[in-house]
Amino acid sequence: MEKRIILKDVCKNYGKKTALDHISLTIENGMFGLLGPNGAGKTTLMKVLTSLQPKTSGEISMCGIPIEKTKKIRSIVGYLPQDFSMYGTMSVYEGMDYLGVLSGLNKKKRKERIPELLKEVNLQEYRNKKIKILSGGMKRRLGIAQALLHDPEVLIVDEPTAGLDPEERVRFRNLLCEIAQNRIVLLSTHIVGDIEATCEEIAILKEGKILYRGTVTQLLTQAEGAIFEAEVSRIELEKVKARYCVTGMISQGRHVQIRFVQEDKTKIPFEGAVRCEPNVEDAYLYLMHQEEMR
Amino acid sequence: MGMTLFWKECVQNMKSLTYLLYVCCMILFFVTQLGETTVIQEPKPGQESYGTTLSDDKDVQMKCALTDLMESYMDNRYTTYPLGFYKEVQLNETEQTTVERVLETLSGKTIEELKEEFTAYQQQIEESMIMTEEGMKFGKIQPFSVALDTGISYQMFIKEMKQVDQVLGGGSRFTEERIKSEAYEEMTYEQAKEEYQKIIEKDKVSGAYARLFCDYFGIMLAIMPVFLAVTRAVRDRRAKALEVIGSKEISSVKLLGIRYLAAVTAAILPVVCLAVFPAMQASYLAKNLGAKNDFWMYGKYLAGWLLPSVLFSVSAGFFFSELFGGAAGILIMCVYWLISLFQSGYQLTGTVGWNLIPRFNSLGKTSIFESIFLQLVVNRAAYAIAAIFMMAVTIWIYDKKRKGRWIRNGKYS
Repeated sequence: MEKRIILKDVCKNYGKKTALDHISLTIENGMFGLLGPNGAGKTTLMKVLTSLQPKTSGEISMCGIPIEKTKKIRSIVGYLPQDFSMYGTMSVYEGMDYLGVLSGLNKKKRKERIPELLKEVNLQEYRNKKIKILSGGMKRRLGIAQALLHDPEVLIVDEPTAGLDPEERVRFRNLLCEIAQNRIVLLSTHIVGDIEATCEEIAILKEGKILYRGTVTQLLTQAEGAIFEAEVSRIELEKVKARYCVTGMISQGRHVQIRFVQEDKTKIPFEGAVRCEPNVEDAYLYLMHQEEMR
Repeated sequence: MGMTLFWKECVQNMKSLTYLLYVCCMILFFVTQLGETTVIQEPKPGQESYGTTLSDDKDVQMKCALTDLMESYMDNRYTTYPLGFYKEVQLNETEQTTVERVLETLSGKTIEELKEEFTAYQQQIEESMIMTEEGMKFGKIQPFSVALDTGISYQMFIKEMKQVDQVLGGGSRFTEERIKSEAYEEMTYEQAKEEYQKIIEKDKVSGAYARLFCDYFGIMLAIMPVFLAVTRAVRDRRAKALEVIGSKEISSVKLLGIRYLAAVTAAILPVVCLAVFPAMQASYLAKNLGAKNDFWMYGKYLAGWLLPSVLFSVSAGFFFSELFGGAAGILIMCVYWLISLFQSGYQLTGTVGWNLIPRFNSLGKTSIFESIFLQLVVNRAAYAIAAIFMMAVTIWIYDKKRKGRWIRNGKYS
């Protein structure tokens, strides 16, 4: 089976509102990041790929299976929705077992897979605890475990780190990287740090359109020469903000260390500003800024 | 896989607080309504009374209705069931005059004479009262009745009574249909013996008790299972598990079909358990009467009479929850249940029609049961078919929603 997701000219409308606007993408094996601001259409795309929503037009093939073949698609896709939850009164094991039955796993397979997965997501100690007592991070880990129950070819995770504390977030990113060894993992997020830490191949989505498709390195290259650093006073900061797209700020007493975008790469914006190496957040904001300028 | 899921669904249903309350209600209902058993006895010649039976004699029908009218007139309190709902009507002077005129026409006596007869009857009751160690007891007196004037035809009687019904606003006991269906007369020994033989031979004793059991539990099972169904139907949404469950491989037909069967099983199970006690009691009684008992009679009645009610109310719970979301199903079914309950409000034995709650609030009366049996079969089959149809539509709606159709702004609810 070819491990590839192919989207050709995919559109999705909600009445008059266009959520996905002629999306064409090819996603290969490994981690793939889908980045974009809130309302960009990421969740809609995830739902279309999990067959929870129909596309309005275009073609989608998941590992060679057309998206219209719902049952087959569901058998090869694992999905962690944005706000994953399960029956709170069930124990972690019971919840996994129930979802395992819905995934068509027999008793033997469930007995093998569930402890294995709970160990993988570090929840084996909680197997008999009620789902309702789990923290946000634990619930997400349980979400990943349930999505992997039937060993899917494709794992789709929607905003998995939103609302997690930094420690949980790092743990979760590492977990995703491990999982992506032998399958396609499609990670949707609005948190640039998630992409930076996990993905090489990415797409950036805004207002239903793909703004960028390529590697993180290529994205950084695009922004090279356009990112500057400067130390400004708090009074000057407002003026700089009005004129430039500020990508980062660190408060240093009465002064502020800022990073910002200067469109014209040949000029130095003002005295004291120094050109610097862009990070992924700078590159992402540079791209968004360019789009707004158009 | 189907059995595993069925079992898991049953456990989920039975572990809910709703189910605990459901079982408590059923037990409480059983204890309060069916706690005492009336023992069927063979009629003996020379008994004081053999009970009553519905009369098809027009004279008896007219006499009963006229007597009831007189009693209601004296109290100025008339019971009616407009649109099936109980209502007590009090008439003003002009309206009472209309009733007076009807009474005079049909009895051939003046209203004063009728009042005198009624007062004399009440006096007779008072005089017959005897104080004993066990409390107040009444002596044996002839029940009050108003005799019909000679020369009054049935058509004329119905025409006069129609005026009374109009004054009362409709739905009264004085319509032709109810004049026929509420005329009871004392049974003779021969009639009582015939009824008894039918209980022994056709009902095999258990059948008579099972009918009464089904009559009572038919009321409960027409509404209570809807609470279980709605609780199950909204659980995914409340647990925010709709999407994760929707993304799994299982088909919508299998998922909802199994959930439906599990809810039906959970709903009927306490009733089956409770039925064991009266079934055993009936077996014992049959043995004492020297009758050949059919222990499985209860099972047959439960499957044929009560199961369609459960199927229907569970379907309705699933259907309306899927269609409107939330607990709309409970409200809709409560309204339907009340209408069904009051539709048969005035006649509790042998009311079937298209009512969700067929009534047979009598022990024995096998002849009446035989006369409504076909109606009952059609009624139950219709509700079972309606339930399956409603569930099929529910699955269809769920599947559409699961694939993202009919949802608002991409929100699956």
